[in-house]
Amino acid sequence: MNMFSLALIALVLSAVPIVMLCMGDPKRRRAVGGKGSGMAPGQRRLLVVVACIPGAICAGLGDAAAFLMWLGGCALIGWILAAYLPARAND
Amino acid sequence: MPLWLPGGAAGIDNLVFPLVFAPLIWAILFFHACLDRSIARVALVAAALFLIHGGLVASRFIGEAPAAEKAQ
Amino acid sequence: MIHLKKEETKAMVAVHGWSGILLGLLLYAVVLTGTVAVFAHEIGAWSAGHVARESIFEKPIDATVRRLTAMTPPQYHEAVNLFEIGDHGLGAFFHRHELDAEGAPTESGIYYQLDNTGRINRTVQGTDEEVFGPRNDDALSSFLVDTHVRLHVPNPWGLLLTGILGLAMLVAAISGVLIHRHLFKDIFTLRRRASPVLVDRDKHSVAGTWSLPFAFILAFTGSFFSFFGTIGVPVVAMAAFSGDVEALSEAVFGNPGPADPRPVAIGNLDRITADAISRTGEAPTFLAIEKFGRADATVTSFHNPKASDIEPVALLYNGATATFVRAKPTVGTTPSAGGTLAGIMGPLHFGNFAGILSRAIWFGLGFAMCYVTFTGMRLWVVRRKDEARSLAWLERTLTVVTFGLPFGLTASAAAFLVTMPMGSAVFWTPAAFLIASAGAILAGVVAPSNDRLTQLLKVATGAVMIVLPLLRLFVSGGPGWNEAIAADQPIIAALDVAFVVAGIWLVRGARTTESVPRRRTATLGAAAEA
Repeated sequence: MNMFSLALIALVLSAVPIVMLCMGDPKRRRAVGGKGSGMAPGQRRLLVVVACIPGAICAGLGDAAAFLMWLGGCALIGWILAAYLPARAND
Repeated sequence: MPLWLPGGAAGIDNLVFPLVFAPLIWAILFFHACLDRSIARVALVAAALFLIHGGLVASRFIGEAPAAEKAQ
Repeated sequence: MIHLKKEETKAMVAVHGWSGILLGLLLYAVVLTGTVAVFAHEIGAWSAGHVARESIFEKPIDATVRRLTAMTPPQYHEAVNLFEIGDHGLGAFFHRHELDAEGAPTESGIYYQLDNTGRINRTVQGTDEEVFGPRNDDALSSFLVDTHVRLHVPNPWGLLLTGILGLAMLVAAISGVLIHRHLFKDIFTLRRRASPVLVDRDKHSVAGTWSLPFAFILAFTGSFFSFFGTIGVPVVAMAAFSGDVEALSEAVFGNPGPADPRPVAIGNLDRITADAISRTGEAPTFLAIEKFGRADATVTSFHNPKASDIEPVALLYNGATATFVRAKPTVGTTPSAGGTLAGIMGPLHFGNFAGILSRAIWFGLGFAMCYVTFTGMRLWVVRRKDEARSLAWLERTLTVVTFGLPFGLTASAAAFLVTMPMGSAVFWTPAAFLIASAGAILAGVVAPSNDRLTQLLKVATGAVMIVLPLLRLFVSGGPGWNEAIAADQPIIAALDVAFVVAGIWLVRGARTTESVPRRRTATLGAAAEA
C-alpha cells in the first residue's frame, strides 16, 4: 500500500468517529438548540481513541508522510464539520 | 550550548540542536518570565544562564589565545 | 484544559492579545502569502504556461555544462549549482566562495539562465544575493515567495522581521492553550445567535484549536528559517568555531576526504543524472558540484523524499569519475539525530513531502491559520469598539488588510498575465499590488461603513479571480486545457477552475454579508469562561 492510499484510508476511518463526536457534542447541541444531552463522556473518550488508531497505525508502520497527512487532514475535517454542521441544524 | 551538548553520530548534534530549538528555548524563557511570580527568580535564572554560557564561550576563546601565541 | 491561577490567566490573556494585535496584521500577511506560496511552483506553471514534459535532468546536460564552463572565467570554476528554472529550463551558477565586505561568507559568480533547448536566455554576474532575483517568467511566484519570506524588506532586516512574527505566532499559540480552559469541550461549538464577541470568540477558538499542532510547527519552523542564517549560524559559529562560519558549514554540510587539487575534467554529468534517476525513480531537484575541475570534485544530487519518508534524499558522486559513492543525509556527513532534525524542517514547513496531497492539506491548514489570525484581531476590536469609538478606524484597518491583501495579490496575478508577453512583468507584478493596495486603502477611507467596505473588497477580489483564466488564455497566450493536459500539466486547468469557483464564492459571499448588531460587549471574564 503506498503512502497516499494509507493516508486517505486513515483519514476516512478517522472521519467517522470525528463526525459522531461532532454530532453528539453536548455543548454544540446546546448551542444549536438540539434535543437531548449529547453523548456520554465515556463514549466520547472511546471515540477519541478510535479516531486516533489509524494515525497510530501510520506512525507504527514508519510512514511519516502518511501520519502527517492524516494529522493535518483530521484537523481540517474537524474544523469544517464544526463550521458547517451547526448551520444545517439551524435550517 | 554547542560547547556542552554531545556531538552525536555525525558530530553535528551540538551545532544543529541549538539552531533548530532556538525559537523554543526563547519561548520557554519568555513564558517563565511572564508566569513566575518572583521577578527576582526570573532575573536569577536568566543571569545564571547568561553567565554559564558566556563563561563557556569566553573560556574557549581564552583557551585558544595561548595556543595561537604558541603557534606564532 | 490547563487551569492557571487567575493572575496567571490574566497575564496570558494580555500576552495573547497584545502579541496578536500588535503584530497580527503583518503576521496575517506572512501567513496568507505562505498559504498561497505552498503552490508557488504550480502558480508559476499556470501563470507562465509551462508545457514542457521532461525534467531538464532527464535530458543530456553534460555538453551544455562543458560549453558554459568554457565561457566562464576560471576564478568561478570552484563550484557549480545546477537546477531547473522556468519551463523545465536549466539554471547554472558557476561561483566561488568568498567573504563579503562585512566578512560574511557569500558566493560570487555567473548565473546562466537557459531554456529547455539549451539556449542561453540571460547571463547575470554578481553575488548570490544579486543574481537570484525575479525573472520575467517567474515574477508572480517570486513576488509571492519574497513577500512571505521577508515582506520585501532587504536582508537581514526582512528575515529578522518575519522571524519575530514567527515567535509572536508561537507565543500566541502557547498562550492560547494556557488561557483556554475547555479546549476540547469547546472544539465543536460555534454559537451563531450570541453577542458579536462570543461569535468571534467561538470562531477564533474552534479554528485555533483544530489547527493548533500545525500553528506550533509552522511558527517554530518559520522562525528557524528566518533566524537560521541571520543570527543562528553566526552565534553557533562563534561558540564552536571561534566565529569561523566556513568551518561550521564544512562540519555540517561538507564531504570529508583527502584534498587532491590536481586538475581533472569533471566526469560525465549525464552518467550521474541517469544513475541518480535509476536509484531514486525521479529526476534531481538540484545538483551541487564542489571543487569543480579537480581530482577531488564531488557532485551531490538532491531529490524529493522517498515514498513514506519526509526527509529529502542526497546522493554523493565522485565528480572526476562520475561514480556513485554513497547516499548521504542532507545535513551532516553520516546519518544522525541532528541531521534528520535539520533535514525535516523544510518538509514540515513547506508540506512538499508527498506531492499535491500533502500540499493541499498544508494549504487548508494555512487558510485555517489566516482565519485564526483574522478572527483573533476582530475579536480584540469588537470587544473594545463600543467602549472606544476611536477604534472604528482599527476595525477598518483590519478589513483593509485582511480583504485588501487577497485583492492586491489577485491584481498582481492579473498584471503578470498581461505584462509577461511584453517582458515587463518584473516591474508590473509588484506595481499592480501597490496600486491595488492603494485602492483598498482609499476604499477604507471613503466607504460608508465597515460592512460596505468588506463587501466591496470581496466583490473586487472575486471579480478579478473570475477574469484571471480569461487573461491567461486570451491575453497572455497561455495553453488551453487540452494542450495543458496533454503536456501532463492538469494543474493549469485545475487552477483556472479553482479561481473561477473561488471568485464566484467571494462575490456570492459579499452579497450575503450581514451587519453585525451593535450590542454591549461581554465582560472579559464572561467571555473567557464561556
